[in-house]
Amino acid sequence: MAILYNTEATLAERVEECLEDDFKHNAIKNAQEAFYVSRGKLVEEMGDGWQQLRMHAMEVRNHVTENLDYYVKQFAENAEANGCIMHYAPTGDDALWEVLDIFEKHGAAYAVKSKSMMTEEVGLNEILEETGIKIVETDCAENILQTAESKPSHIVVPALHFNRDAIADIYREKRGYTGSNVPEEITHFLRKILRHEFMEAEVGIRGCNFAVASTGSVTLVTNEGNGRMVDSFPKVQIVFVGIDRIVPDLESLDTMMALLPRSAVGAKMTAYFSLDSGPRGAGEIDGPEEVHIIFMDNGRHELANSEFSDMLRCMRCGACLNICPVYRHITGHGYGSIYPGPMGLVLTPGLVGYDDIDNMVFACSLCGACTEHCPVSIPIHDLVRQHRINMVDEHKNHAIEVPIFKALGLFWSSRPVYMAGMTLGPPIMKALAHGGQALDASSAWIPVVKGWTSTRDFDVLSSTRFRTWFKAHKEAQADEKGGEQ
Amino acid sequence: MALGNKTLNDLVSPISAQLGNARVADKVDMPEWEFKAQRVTDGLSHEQLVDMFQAEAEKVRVKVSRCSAADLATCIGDIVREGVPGTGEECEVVCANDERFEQAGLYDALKRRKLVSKVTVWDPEAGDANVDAALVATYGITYTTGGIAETATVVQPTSANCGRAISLLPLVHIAVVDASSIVATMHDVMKGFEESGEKLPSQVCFISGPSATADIELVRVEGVHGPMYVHYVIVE
Amino acid sequence: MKVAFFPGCMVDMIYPEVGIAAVNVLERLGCEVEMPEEQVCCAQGLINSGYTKEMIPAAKMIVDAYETSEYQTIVSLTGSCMNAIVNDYPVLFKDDPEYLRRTALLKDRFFEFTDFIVNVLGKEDVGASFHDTVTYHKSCHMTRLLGIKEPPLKLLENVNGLEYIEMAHADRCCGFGGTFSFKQPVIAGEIVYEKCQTIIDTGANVICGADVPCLLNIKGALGRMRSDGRLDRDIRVMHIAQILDSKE
Repeated sequence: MAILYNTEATLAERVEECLEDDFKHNAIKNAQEAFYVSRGKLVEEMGDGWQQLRMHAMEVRNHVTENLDYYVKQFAENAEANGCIMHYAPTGDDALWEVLDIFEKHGAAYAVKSKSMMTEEVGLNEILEETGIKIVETDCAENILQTAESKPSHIVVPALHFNRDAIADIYREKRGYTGSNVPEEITHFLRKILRHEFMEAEVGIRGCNFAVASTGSVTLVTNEGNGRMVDSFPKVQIVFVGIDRIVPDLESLDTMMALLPRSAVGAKMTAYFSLDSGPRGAGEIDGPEEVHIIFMDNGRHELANSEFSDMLRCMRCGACLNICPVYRHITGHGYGSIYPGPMGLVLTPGLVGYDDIDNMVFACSLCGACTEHCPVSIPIHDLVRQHRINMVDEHKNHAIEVPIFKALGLFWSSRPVYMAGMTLGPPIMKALAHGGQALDASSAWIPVVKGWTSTRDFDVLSSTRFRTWFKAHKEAQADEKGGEQ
Repeated sequence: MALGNKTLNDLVSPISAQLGNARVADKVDMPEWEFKAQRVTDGLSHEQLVDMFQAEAEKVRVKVSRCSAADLATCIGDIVREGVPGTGEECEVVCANDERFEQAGLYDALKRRKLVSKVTVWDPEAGDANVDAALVATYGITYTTGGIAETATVVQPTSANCGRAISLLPLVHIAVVDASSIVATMHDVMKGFEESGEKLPSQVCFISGPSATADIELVRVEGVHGPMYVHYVIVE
Repeated sequence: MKVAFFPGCMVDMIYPEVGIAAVNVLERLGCEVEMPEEQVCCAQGLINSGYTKEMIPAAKMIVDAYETSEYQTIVSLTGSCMNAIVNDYPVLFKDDPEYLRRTALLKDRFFEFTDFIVNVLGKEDVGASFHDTVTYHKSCHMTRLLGIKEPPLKLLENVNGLEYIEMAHADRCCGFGGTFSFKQPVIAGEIVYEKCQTIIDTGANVICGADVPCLLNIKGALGRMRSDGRLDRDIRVMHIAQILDSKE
């Protein structure tokens, strides 16, 4: 998979498709509700500390972004000093080339992987499978998606769009599962079949939540333990690290970790958080013998020193998805990007440009809930709007709308034009409303208007202006005063 | 440009260019941070921190026992005797190779237990046999290097005497933690690493409860790829 | 106290009665209300759709109308429009030092209607009475971007006879979002129907808010739900100014 998928469908078509799936729609709503409640409790418990943490995380991450070349170099040098083998990937294709090279050098054909957005971004699974390499997703949700040949609908809990019956059926059909549809039983079946894969695979592939520049360490945050399995038993390990994952030192790593699980899943900490600094040490029996770090840019550096540099603070927690009123309804699949929701609306065009995204960045009401909840205070809704501004400036918007907005600009900037409109408008609307107070569904054939009246009524323009009343009101007051004198 | 075989410079120079830097700075000092976050643990006594550690652990469904160093073997023996639902009468145990376990007589005590069919003490000379033992063991026992009160976390470094498998493969992880090593937040642990100036071990794992998932309909299930049960033993 | 009034274009175009109510309240509280003739609209719909160049003339018109020595205190009836003026205009005028300076002056002079009453006039009880059950929609830009949370609730609390019932997720977007509601009618529809359901679930007879555009959206959705049978009773949609001007 690359960043974009299902691009043959328009945004409207994808949205329509998502809304037709009641189970998925409700699953995402319930997930939002659950995360909202659990995160809210933890944030409240921390009192002022939460805002202080956010501000501190912001200054730390900004410092890294402002000195990104230095910290990229420092991390790389320290990771290498730890005994990691560094592979530098300015582009996603470079990353794929390096991974294939590692497999070839080891004659390896069997890998286990723990969930990593970076590998999704470059379409790693597809390439490996084409080359005949078996790659097994080991995160429960990712394994479900891989087995069902489906795509993630949420960045933290990606398989929410399948219910327990569907999941049980998938494993019955593909993996010989014979148990019930109880989540516990399915999960323990996965424990059993995947344990074998972990122990047999030659290569472990994983991502990295934060990379520590001062120590050259990579980290992994998981609840299931699949990350630890990938990190412990395959002899060769490949770690995908984005250049935007860096924190300067261990103390700032703590700051990020105080924010991440709370924001992502509404927990103080995940079951596992591992801090890895190189291959297994002298005398150690488990852990990778070789650690290869794929240090990847893939368009990220262009966000630095740009109007989108704030986005480099993002830690992929998904808090913005969990509060977004749009994501709630259209789910991850509505966006057509592996990075969905508010953060996705900023990051996706930031990485792929405006040509292939349809009007994705307009799937946002600019309500600002994302910005309020972002643990690193990214002004997400402002950045979404900045993409819109850039699209208009670069003529990447839908040409058909331009005259409408030009007309609006004129209408709002000239009182005579406005007053003329206000003379013509009310009787026309009154007629369209069949003499009633609002345009109803019967007006849903009129261009532009139908955008509204297909789903809601629209109150007709008043036959009198507030300004007219106000003028008369002031004159009456003046007369009264005059009369008194 | 051809794919692959890129250098660090190939990765870094476009970043420098984007930032308007002619070259990468030799040294960047960390600024004086403007913000410092207060934490819920601020001002708590050590005793309160230990209590918080226990309370938070119980919230994430970790069982907690407290004992003295002298009673460690008995305490762990009792946990093992309690058994695990769904497992057979007899079980195997894999332990970290730790002087403190030796001194407490843990290995011998476990071997004497009727229900314990085999006790494997991690042995760097024994190679993969250690992992094989952990694969079939019901209990994995480690001596952790610290506890974190705020998040009920134990700090588990990897070493030649304590492999990753012990706290990962068995159904139950019994993590021993000295009460004196319990600190307020992860910040204290990180600061400790930084101040020690020593190279970090190949892995430090921060463990906070049983492995779990909510991937199917958000229903929480414990015991995914790691232990299904975690038991902390606080040594006072 | 002399105040310049900024009603927002929707009050002028669609709901003059809301503006009238607000002026009544302000005058009752002793304000001398003025309104420059040359104001039309904050025009935020343009920047929110990406059209900054097209917005500049309208924005300049607002700055010219309100940034005069005559007006030291300006009261905006709509939080979202005020947010556009004080927070978005600086983006628009980033290359225009003169208008940037004048916009900055406006920032300190602008007050949202309820915030003005509570925090400038120091009044929490405006002497209104309204005997009915009321729920309140916490509109996004006013609540989140301007940070005005308490004033409208304090005012409602002190209305004689009013029974306030909080709706679930009162600060969740109603789905208006300016041109969003035209460009993405299906998504906007889903959002506002859900908002309406939370309103309906309170059992209140009145939904009020302090942002006119949200009310237009909510009213339109409640109307549609009423006519297609999803709603079986009448729910009044009112601006908070109308409640504060009530003697019901």
